[in-house]
Amino acid sequence: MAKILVVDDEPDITASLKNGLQRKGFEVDTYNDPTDALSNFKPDAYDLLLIDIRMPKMNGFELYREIKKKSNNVRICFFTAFEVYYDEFKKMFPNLEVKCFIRKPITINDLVLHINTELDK
Amino acid sequence: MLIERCDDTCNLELEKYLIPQNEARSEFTNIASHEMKTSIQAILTYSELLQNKDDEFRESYIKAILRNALRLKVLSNNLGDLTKIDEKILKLKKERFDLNLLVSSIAKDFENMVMYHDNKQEIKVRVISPMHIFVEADKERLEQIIFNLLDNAVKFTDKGTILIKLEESSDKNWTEITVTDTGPGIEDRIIPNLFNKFVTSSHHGTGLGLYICKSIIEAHDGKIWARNNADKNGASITCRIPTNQGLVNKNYTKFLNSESVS
Repeated sequence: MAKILVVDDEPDITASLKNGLQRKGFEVDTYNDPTDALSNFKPDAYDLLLIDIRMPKMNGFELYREIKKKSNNVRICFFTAFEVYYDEFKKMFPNLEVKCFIRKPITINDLVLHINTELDK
Repeated sequence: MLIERCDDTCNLELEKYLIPQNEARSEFTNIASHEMKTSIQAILTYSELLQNKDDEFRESYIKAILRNALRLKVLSNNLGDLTKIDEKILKLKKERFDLNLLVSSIAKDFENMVMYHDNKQEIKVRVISPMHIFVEADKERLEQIIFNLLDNAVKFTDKGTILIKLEESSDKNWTEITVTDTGPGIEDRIIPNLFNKFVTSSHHGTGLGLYICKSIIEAHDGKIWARNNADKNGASITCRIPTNQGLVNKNYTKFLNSESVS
């Protein structure tokens, strides 16, 4: 069973995704505070990280950068409602396919499709 | 993977993109759109979960859907008001009414709402007011302001009492509404700009609420201001509006508590 870590500062988002993804057979841990997610992060504990970008204290990119220091082979999808990041990152990395950006809002079924695509890589 | 290339320069590069470079309005559009999508995401997922008839938490999903739908309602109302204010077509429907009656009823509704929707059981809203305090103002707009100030206060308060104090000047020329919370207070650097368009110290919100409050109060020829409480315990926001007519009830009782809300 694939294990997923969800980090999003909105409790309604983490709570609903946890339940929705569990129903689809995933094991799910959630954090609303990215600094908690970081301090409790264990390398190799998760098959995929699903991380919001706009969060207080530490944004999703910073969290990812810090997590990479603890574990080099994590897989990540950014889960964001903010258009700017998506567009700016496409500008920043024109040669990279931005497959790991998932845009809110999205249905659970579509989210699962994205997750499985990442897990199959 | 996407970010691997920027390992050394990551900090600088990220800062460049994370700090809003565009003009305030473009940033605001972004934030409003973010706010909208976040609520839609929650409504979408909870609605999907509701389809599972066997789920024992269905009641809580309905609450969450309502809570997020209300967030969208506030956002769409604020956007409508912003247009009216910017195009200078905000109109007031003034009438004479008892502010204490209005505020006490809002306080009670708000307390119930916070308990039901946000599961904040330990928030109390208390009103301190003369028994009657008559004003001539746009009742719906004042209700909107008070609701907004309470909503702001509760964002920064997990438990404790939010106080609404209503006062008249001794010459009965003006009336003040002060909402006081027990949260962390307002950062000093934000206070001078607090009522400007798009300024927010919360991660949730668009920075429209207080700007709209200010615009409505100014339309009443009034003033609004904020300060941190002297005991470093929370912040207060005060609206002062002209009372207009000296039609105040003679049975003035100083600072009679409206116990109906506690």
